Amino acid sequence: MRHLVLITLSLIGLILAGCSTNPKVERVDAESVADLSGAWNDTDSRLVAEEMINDALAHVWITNHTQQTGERPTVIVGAVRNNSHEHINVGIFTSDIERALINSGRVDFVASSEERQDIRAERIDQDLNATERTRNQAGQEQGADYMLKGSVNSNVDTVKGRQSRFYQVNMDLISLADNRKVWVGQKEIKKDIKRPLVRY
Amino acid sequence: MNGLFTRIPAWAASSHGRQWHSLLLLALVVSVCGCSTYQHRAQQFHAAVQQAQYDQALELTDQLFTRNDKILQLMTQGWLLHQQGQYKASNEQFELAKELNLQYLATSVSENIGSVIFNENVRTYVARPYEHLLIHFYVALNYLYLDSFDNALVEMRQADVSIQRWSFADAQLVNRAAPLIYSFSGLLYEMNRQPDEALIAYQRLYDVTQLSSNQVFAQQNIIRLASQLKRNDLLDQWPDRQPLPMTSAHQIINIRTAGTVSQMVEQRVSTLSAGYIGRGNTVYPAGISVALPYYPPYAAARVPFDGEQFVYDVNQQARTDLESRIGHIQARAFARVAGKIGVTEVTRQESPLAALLLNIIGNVNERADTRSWSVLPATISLHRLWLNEKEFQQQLITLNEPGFNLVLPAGSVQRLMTQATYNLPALVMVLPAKPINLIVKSHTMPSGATDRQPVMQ
Repeated sequence: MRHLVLITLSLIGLILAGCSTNPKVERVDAESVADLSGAWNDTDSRLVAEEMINDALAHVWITNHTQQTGERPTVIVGAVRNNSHEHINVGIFTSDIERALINSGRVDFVASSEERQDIRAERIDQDLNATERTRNQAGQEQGADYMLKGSVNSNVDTVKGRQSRFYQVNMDLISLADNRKVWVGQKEIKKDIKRPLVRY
Repeated sequence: MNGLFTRIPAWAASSHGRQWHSLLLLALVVSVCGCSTYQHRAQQFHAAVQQAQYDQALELTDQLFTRNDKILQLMTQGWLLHQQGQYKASNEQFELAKELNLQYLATSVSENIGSVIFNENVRTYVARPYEHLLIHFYVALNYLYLDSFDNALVEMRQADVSIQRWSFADAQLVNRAAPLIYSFSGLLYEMNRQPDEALIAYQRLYDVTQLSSNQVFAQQNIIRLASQLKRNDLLDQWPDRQPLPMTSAHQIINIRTAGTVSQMVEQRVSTLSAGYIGRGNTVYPAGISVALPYYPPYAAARVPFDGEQFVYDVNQQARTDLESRIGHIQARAFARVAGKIGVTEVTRQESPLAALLLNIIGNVNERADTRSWSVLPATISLHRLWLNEKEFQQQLITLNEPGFNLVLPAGSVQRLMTQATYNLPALVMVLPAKPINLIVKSHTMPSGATDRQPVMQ
């Protein structure tokens, strides 16, 4: 009888534990790798950003520009097209690249076309409402020397429970003066994903 | 022969027997009550959908679907939110459905056993290939509504991966479901100035499409793009080709849905035998029931349009899909019946009354799996209208529908409600696309709506 009670209580305990609706939250290092579904994730974005930053800073285009003009190059972020089969937020790695290049002290960035709309609206507002001393005048914007453009492409091969995903991220830095491509960065990522064919 | 239930066997009058019978009776009552409650809710739900009371329908989805129907619930909620114009929320539900669907594609050992012991409804509902492709279609539409053309194209690429995944299991079935994706992605690639990709999509469509009118649609687009890309190797395949229909820089793509897909219903075959002779010569009847799903006959919807058009018959897809798996369903049903007879026979040795109750419970629980994405339209059709310069400049286009003029302010998103030439009214959506082309999207509307005038929403 005692055993029966113990077994019953254990089973109830297990059921209650299984029925818990509270999510379990655990803080993890932002750089830890967590591949859950095989889809593009933060680790992929970080790897792309690191590769692009190292390559862009090591390349001679910065030195060439500085030698020719005596000034740091100014870059604007253009369109990064997602030509892959996943809904990838390309803003994550482009902002990483932007931050690293700015922090290197060797490159200046100007606001993108979308960001500019807010800035210009604010400037117009300042024109009406700010004091003359603190007002920022129109027509003083810094023009960019280069535009950073890119694309994310993917190729998927799948059979039954197995899938091979290949991603290729291309980034180009194009001279706004003469359309020359002064730097081309590329990062490739390949994943092999296996899904179970049988479940309980 | 004594009358049925004329005597209570002595063993049944015992305490143990009473408990056992009470439990069986309780199970029987719960089964019957559960079934009637579900039917009532299902009727309420479908009535709400038909009357376009999507808020009410959404509320009912929480009660209508069981834990095994989570994917079906998400798909239904995604569709209802799409109808409500909550495109972002709709995509969230659809994305969850897609992810769960991938997880549950693996064969379940316990559910397979359960389906042989109880019924097919113990299985977790997994979207059928044509349903999964329609998820991609609706997600892409939602992105178009959200003015995210790139994401709509991403969805088409995902659909292509899905087609590839299922092609290994049943290429023929997937090929029958794929034409909508091929035709829609072809149109989107064209709008995105990717004629090579569009050409591939139309070629695939031509290879798999069954309807002759759809082959004409595919052929026209292949010829036009092959001419544009100077692909004489492709043009040579149609030496007797007709002159190309009028094309221009301006076009409207009208995506129209009509009707509601047929509901799968249960077909039950039952027999009643003399049954079991219990103690004291009491005779209990015994029944055998087999419940199988089937679709009632339907009349294909007429889609009147004389321009370029592609028609996707969802009703036909649903029937083809059921036909492809009905053999397995029947095999499991007969195995289930054999199992139930065996268990009842064993029980009969101990208690004929218990055997009777088990027999009744077994028959009551014998239910066909009639689950499907039942809110889908009966047909989805894609129409293309080429506009001449005058029409475009005037921004006044007649969509070949009597008394209906669609005013298209270029570059703005709007939804129009209009009475279509079909039996059911349609909701039309105009989207800004690439520079001057426009996508018009039509929707199934409730049969109760009678407004014949275009109404801006």
